[in-house]
Amino acid sequence: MTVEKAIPAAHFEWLEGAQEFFSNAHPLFSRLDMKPVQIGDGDVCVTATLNGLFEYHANSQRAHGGALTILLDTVFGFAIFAQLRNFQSIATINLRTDYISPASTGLKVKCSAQCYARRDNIAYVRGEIREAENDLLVATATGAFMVGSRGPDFKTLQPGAGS
Amino acid sequence: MTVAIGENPLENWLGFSSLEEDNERVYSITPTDEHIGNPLLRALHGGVVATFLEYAAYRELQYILDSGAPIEAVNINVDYLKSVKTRKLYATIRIAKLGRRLAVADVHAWQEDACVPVAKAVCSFSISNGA
Repeated sequence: MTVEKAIPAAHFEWLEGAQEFFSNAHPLFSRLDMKPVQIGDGDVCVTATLNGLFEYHANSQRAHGGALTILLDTVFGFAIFAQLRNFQSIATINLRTDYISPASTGLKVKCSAQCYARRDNIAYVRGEIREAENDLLVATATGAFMVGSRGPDFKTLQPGAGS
Repeated sequence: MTVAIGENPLENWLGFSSLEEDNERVYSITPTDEHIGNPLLRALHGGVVATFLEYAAYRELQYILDSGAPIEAVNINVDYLKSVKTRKLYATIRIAKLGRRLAVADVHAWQEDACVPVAKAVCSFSISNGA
């Protein structure tokens, strides 16, 4: 193993992986058209569009809150990756979502999340969803995650990485 | 009670159904690759599990109220107890509180064995009484 100034390179690799994480390769993420717009140190923002398949009354154009929970759970995981700067395997321990205002299908939203604390292998994340256009608060959430849970590294899911 | 295909996009996407057994309704979904969070583990996405638990609680409340009163989710708190596989996922609901304006539901989910829970949730709903 060589000791070199690998930090910029590693950082670049992580950012590339982050782009690919939200590429169309993942069926669920592409359903919500998730796109990272800000990637900081444990602090991220992702835009998404609430797909019509989350409508739960015929022709109501009301999106089920589950669409928001799916988005929050995904972006929360991403906030942890952004702090670790890698795609270590993580598992949601629990997640609480408060629904503040009703969301319609087709709505463009932005989901921001902060991994605000770590204790050993537990990461704590909080975040919110707002309407992209007018900033109206749609949902808030907090979650706890197990970092380094058993299971493969998300990095190996990237195209061209491993088999 | 079954819903015609095309009538409810969310139910179609989840493969949702309900079955009455000994005066208790058992709700289920049939997950596919669409619902996976981690493709290598083939584990369901936590948000998909939460969606099902909340929707099952909503349907149970609709059934119990039998009034067509609008029901709105206030919040949901989900605990993930085991990795959820792409196999049939079941849930039963216990209504912990049913007031005029608020209901609280405890949801228990399992896969092969009803005694081995894979997730649980508490969902709160507000009920509009119209008048």
